[in-house]
Amino acid sequence: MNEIADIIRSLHPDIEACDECENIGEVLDSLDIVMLITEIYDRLGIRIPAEEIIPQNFSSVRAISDMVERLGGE
Amino acid sequence: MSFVSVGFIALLCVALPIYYLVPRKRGKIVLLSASLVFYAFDGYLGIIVICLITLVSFFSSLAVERSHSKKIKNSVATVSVAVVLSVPIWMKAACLGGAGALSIPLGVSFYSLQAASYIMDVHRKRIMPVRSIARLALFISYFPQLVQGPISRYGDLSEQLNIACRPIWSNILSGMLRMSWGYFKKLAVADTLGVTVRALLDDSNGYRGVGTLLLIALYSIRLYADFTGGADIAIGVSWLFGVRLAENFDRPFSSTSVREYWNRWHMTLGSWFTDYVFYPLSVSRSVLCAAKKARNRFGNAFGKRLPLYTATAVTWILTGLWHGLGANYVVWGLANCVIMLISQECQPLYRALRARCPKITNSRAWTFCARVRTFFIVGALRLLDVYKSPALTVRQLASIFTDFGTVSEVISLLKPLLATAVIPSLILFAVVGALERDGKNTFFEKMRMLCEKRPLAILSLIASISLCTVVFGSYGIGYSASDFIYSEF
Repeated sequence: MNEIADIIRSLHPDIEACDECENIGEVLDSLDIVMLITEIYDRLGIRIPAEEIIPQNFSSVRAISDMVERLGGE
Repeated sequence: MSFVSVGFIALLCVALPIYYLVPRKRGKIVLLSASLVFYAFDGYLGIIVICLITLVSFFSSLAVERSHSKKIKNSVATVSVAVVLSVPIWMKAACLGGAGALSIPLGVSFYSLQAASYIMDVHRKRIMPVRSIARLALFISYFPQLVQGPISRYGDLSEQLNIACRPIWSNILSGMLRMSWGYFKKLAVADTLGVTVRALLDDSNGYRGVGTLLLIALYSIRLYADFTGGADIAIGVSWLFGVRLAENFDRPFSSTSVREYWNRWHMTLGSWFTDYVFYPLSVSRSVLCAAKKARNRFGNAFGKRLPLYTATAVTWILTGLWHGLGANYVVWGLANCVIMLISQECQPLYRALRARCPKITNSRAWTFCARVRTFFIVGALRLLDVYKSPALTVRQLASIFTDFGTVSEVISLLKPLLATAVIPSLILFAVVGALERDGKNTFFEKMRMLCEKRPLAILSLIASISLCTVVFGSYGIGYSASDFIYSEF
């Protein structure tokens, strides 16, 4: 989860990327989400397919981490 | 059939009582019949095209669901989406090539996107394929959204269309209010401004830079009034039937950047391209692998940007081509792409500026300047659509800096406009526009709540807006309301 928060902070230093922050989805737009997915693929080697790009999966750091964990385990 | 026609009002007057009189389960048959009548007025070609697209979507979605092979699922979905989307492209190309009396069927650019999204959503297992072809036909052909959207998703709309609700006065009153506001925008603002806009367009050699600036401003307001007017009518008509369509705008002229503007303008088209082009392309295995290779070869900075740059460029070129197949639309798409990417790259600069000068960047004057800048940047790009020629657009834009002209020229250009009743219309338009959203509730949401408590007040409001349309609007014997601009795309 820390890694995801680090990636978000590096892309968007003005976002408060704590584990439980629920406002991430409102701040990230489509360009931010693509930059985030590219970084996750590069650092963690996990590809997030287009079907997974839904608001629920990007609503908070925890939601993104859960999705990445699930996709990593598949 | 146009929204601004006696035939359309007559269709509503017949369809609405029948819709509420028949048993609730039969309501969808009334809506489908009304949609077919609406469409039949545009000629037989439109009916053939809509039937073809419905058939392809219906059978391909069933094939996608029933197939056990992933390869076959992918192939069927890809081919059927390509067939559905090739119809408007082929039609536009044929019209561009001057193919006889062929005309682009009404709304084909809109409902083909809806049909394609249905197939892709079934393929992604977001929705189950529908078993009744009539149900799918109603989703694709639902008449209020046929002319110029909004572009709905099957999951959001289909249930509402298939289970008719009981007549609720607040729905009907708020629908009539929204419709009356839509007609005011179209007839009293858009069409009245249209006369001056057309005069400026027809005589592009007759004015200098100041005239170009005036054209940018007038055309932007006209397009906004025209497009949102049509959307208000579509949403209002749907409310009459108890159906809630997606909102297509969120005060775009309050945007302080082009990036924000495109999140507020024609939102259903933007989200369609984001969901079905931008995301799939940017996160595709091939693009991510190419980005990884590019990192090794050209460095980290370039590699990590490759997916974003590639997907943004493709998405904007396709968005341009959706509006029309001319070179001007490709240039428009590329120009927007360049602006979006420059804005993305400048984010660290903006952040630094905000951190260094918080007082200035948080001031009202700063926000106002940013809004005016965004308004004119987007408006300047729109000249590519207005003049239809990239060369003429560049020449006219250059004149703003090289041969500006004088204030007296503005007055003489505005004289014909000032002779009309556009000023009070614009004031009313601006006031309601400013009230449009307060917190999370839109102006019309508030009015909808008020419908239950104060129906008489809402009725008087509808009467007042209609009176304003009658007094200030462009209509009458011998006058033909111009088509909605977006219905031509």
